Amino acid sequence: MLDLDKIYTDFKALINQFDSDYLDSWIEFDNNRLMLSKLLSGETVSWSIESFAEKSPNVISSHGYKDSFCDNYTYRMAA
Amino acid sequence: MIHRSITKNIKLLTGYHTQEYRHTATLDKPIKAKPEDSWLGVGYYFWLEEEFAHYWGKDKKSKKTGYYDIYKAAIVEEKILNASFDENAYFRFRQIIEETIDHFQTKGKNVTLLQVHRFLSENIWPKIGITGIIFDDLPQNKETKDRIYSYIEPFYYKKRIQVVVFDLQNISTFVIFKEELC
Repeated sequence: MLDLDKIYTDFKALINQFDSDYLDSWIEFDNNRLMLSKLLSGETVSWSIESFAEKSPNVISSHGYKDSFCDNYTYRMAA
Repeated sequence: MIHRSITKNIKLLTGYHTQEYRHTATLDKPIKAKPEDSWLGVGYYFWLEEEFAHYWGKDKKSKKTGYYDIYKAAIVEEKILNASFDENAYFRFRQIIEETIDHFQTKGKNVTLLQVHRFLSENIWPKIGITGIIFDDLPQNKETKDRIYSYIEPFYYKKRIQVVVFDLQNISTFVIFKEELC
């Protein structure tokens, strides 16, 4: 059984730790991964190669998407 | 009807995961939803009723092969927030979403609801002990005549209920259940 009051108390303590810099960093990460996901789905996205090369290692290394991104990339390249 | 079981004193929820048929082999684990489709946050999505797993297969997961597969999973239920059927959980769920939106906005950040769900699934829910969320919407997109969402149209009263599970470790079993031709 979940203790909903404790969950809320823990939420309040946690959310206040996310300052403006962290939120900016997370939004940037989120936008980048959306771009990558669309790219891997075959959608056209407006990203320069330089931008992709700069951003993708950050997304991959910081947030643990290396395996799935590489798998998808390999699959699509093979197809 | 939502199905449950108990194994070794662990309460398990049955979930249905629909994917395109694969010629080579069946999956041994569910596929994580794309971030842009992750309406309750980043994770593994399951229907709680087989009916909607079939609709999803017919509508979305059979375009390449004409077939779809439904997998059946046993999901550890203990720490899942049931915002679909538990009144207190629903209002806490709402409150946390709204206060998260407010947190972003007071710091001058514009976010979408999908972003908020992704943020919560990665930064909040697992850290406060929530392993997944059950929620629903109403099936307003009736694509074919053979689906009965309501006997008095257009009022559709059936919930389309899904559970998102954030971590594979909370999926106890995952096996192929049905292979269907559209």
